[in-house]
Amino acid sequence: MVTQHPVVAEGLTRRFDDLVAVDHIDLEIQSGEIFGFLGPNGAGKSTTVRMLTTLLRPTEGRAAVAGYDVVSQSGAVRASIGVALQDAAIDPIMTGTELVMLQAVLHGIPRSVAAARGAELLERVGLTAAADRRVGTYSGGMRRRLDLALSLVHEPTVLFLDEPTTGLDPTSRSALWEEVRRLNTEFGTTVLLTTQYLEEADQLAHRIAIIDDAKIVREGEPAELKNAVGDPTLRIDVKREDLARTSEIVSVFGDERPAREGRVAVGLRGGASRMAEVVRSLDDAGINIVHMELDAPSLDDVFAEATGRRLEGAVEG
Amino acid sequence: MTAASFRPSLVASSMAVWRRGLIRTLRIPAIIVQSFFFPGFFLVVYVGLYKAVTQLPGFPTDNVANWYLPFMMIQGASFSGVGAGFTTAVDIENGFFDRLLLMPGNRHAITLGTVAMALTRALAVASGVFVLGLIAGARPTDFVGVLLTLMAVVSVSIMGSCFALGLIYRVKDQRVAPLFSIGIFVVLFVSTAQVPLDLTTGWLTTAAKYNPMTQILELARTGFIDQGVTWGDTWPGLVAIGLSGGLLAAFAWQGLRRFVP
Repeated sequence: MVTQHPVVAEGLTRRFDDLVAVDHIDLEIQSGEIFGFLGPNGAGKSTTVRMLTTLLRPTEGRAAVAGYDVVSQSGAVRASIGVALQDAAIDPIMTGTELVMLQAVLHGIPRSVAAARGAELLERVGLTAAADRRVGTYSGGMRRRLDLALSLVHEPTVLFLDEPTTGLDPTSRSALWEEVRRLNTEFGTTVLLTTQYLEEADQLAHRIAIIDDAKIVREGEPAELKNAVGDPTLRIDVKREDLARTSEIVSVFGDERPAREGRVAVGLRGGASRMAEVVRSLDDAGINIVHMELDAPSLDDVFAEATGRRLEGAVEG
Repeated sequence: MTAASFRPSLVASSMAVWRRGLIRTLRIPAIIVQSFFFPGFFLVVYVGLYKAVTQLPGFPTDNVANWYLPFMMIQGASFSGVGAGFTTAVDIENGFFDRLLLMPGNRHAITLGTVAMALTRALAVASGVFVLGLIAGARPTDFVGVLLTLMAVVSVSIMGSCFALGLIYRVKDQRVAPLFSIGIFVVLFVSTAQVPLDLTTGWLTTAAKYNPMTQILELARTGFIDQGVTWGDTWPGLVAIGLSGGLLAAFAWQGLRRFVP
């Protein structure tokens, strides 16, 4: 597979006995792009990343990373990529500096060069003061930042971040986003980021692919995907006994959209100008509105439109 | 300078894995204390309890410490191999092993570095047990024989590590860890660990006769028995090391090759 794109996959598939974890996915990530891979737990994001980073062999299909085939040229792939896997597996007994040195030597960087580079990276992620402390004493955010530094030791051209902010508090999450943006803009590093957070994909990614049940169901720029959904979503919370009637009444104003329990959602044709009309109709029917909101289409709407389910609320974030 | 400018060598990568193991061992002294405790404890107990056993006709030495010391050094070496398996099992469970697998160089550096660390630990434990043996009354009879004991320690450490690594690479689950100890205990004790082959009876004679550990123990004991080193006692041990070592190394090697499914 000869390609100029940093990441290309054609019909990439992985089966575990009868389970199809990734089902014939195609990807083409452009150089210098932040590509978001969005989907719920178990959708196939991490399995895809494991195949692209040579930790798992594809059952079918082909993939190339940094121009190298992930099966036949796996060593060259690993030399070109940086990987921060889910859960930031870091030996708690070692210090930040020791781990950076280990990572550097494993990537063939002489110790003399590695020491300076390690110090620079630890400074960049704000861990200089904690560099000689055992990682077991680090907070979750510090571990993630160290993981990011480790993945950058050998100056990779493609960076894989597998759910880099899962479990982080909002401040640590923002700090990590900032660092990823900086890497991308200052160094032109291509980033493939998997996430289950809509906001993360929306904020960071130039393009996203939505994966559900092992298949890519939508792909494109976030704005373009949201525009394709069309009308804004009107969400109405009512009492349980009024749900069916509410659903029937508002169906006149637009197509029903998936919503969490206790809520009715429609794509409101005509947008905000028709809200008063909806309120009057419900009022005439004697339905008491508990809460009502109108939102421009979000990635959650894109996900809902593609899968019939909501991602928001399914994920604690 | 980018990643492509550097080529990681097998030796450098193995050394890096070894160095990490060394750091862990130094920071968790319990690892080495535990490895030393059992052979040291058994040595002291056996020397105290079984002095009379060396009076049996056919025993190659009348010094009980000389009889048990090489066995305990070998036992310590085998435990270091078990330790290599445990460490790797934990790495696999917590995901650190993935980080090692992402090295661009030869992945067999993981096995080499881990085995080298087990060997380092085995030599440290064997040295301690040797000193304890001297205190307990052991007196080497042949310097070349002591070197052969050392060779047996090194070999058993490598074989024990390869056995444990081969197993964990295939099963990828910490729950297999008890099998490391069980396998090594069976091989150690169904041999001439306690008495010479001529003094064993029944099924144990047959099992010990075909257990390569019997030949390795005889090799390890040549420097501590009255007769000293003879070629007749040496070559079966060398063959046992060559064949068992080769098979177990291949077991570990293939295990890692299959690790990435």
